[in-house]
Amino acid sequence: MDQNQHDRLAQEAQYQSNPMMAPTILPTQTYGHSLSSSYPRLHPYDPQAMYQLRQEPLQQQLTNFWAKKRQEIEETTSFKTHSLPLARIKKIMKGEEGVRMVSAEASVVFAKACEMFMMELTIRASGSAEENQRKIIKKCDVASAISRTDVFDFLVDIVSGHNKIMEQQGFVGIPRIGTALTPTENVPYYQMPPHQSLVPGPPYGSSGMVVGMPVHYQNHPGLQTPTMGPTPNPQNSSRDSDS
Amino acid sequence: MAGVREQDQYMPIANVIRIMRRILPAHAKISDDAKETIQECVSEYISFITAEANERCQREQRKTVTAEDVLWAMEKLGFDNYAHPLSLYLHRYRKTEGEPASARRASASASPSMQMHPRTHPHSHPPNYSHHGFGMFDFDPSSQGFYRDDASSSGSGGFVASFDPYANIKRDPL
Repeated sequence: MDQNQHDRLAQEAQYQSNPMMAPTILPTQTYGHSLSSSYPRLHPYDPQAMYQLRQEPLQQQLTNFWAKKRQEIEETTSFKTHSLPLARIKKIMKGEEGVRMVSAEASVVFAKACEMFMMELTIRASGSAEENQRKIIKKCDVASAISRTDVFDFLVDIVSGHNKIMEQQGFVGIPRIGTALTPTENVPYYQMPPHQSLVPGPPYGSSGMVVGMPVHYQNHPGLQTPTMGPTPNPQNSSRDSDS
Repeated sequence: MAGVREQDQYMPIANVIRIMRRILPAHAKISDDAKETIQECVSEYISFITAEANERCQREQRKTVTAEDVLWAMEKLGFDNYAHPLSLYLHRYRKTEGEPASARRASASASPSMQMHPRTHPHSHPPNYSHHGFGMFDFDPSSQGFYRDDASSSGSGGFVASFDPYANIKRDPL
């Protein structure tokens, strides 16, 4: 389990750099890409083409995804068909406190935005499944995709609230900043400093050792119950009494 | 969230699955908990963006959350790569939707709200879809003034509209 956790953390550290790269790559810059241009325009979601696309690194997949998305929008001929029900979108929007009225165009824009959002999340989650050599995308893959993408921070509560797999692997509770700052694999994150269990004993010995001790007890009530046996302390006590 | 039914808080799972499959190869499999998680994430995404859009709306003392508010909120919250293609989408939407409305107005065969009806996806309607009626898609009278908002907000300079799709609607009440 520790080995898996360390591997996953190493992978997380590796992917931490991806979100930083993404904003700097404009989707339009990939129009000259040979793979993108070779796509059949009439079948933007050809399974074979998408499967070929998935052979590339995740970042390349996302770049091509945005390029295809823009191309699809440019080629849209009908705006009456939406992949998500507008009434439901409007109801969710109005569920937000303080929202009074929602324009029809806002719902239309959200329908397209949510489609893009779900697709990006699915691409990233499938990348996580591939890393673990699985063909089934699970909830932990979605959670992993969310934890690696900064703009998805607002979703952390959703996946951490009831994700047992993540909890078992110890991902819950690890601060992302900490992960970014300390990518070293050999350092255990929950190492506690060792506690010294030394308890200093009373400086005075048993009352029976020194005849004059009762006098001290009257002056120091807190030391009236020594439990130590014969120890070198009586000598110290004798010196104190002598001086 | 008082009054909001559980089933109405999320997108229909069938739509979620269909969209996910469009981006995956045919042999890929999705577990049920992954589908449900993304279903919840979409609702959270809508609420997250809407809250930010509504803040700007209230600062400018407007009552209606507009598409420009949504796009502005996306850019502010880091979804730049969404806002850019979506502004193009909105622009083309206005161009293409305005003309059919004009044509339909001439024949007087349908109300403007029909434009928003997703007729070709009957199977995607929630069970209680008929309860909403077409009123959900009626244009809000105050939204007719949201082009004035464009002039007042510097952030939406790129959304200057060359054609007013609501002009035809305004003419009818006269």
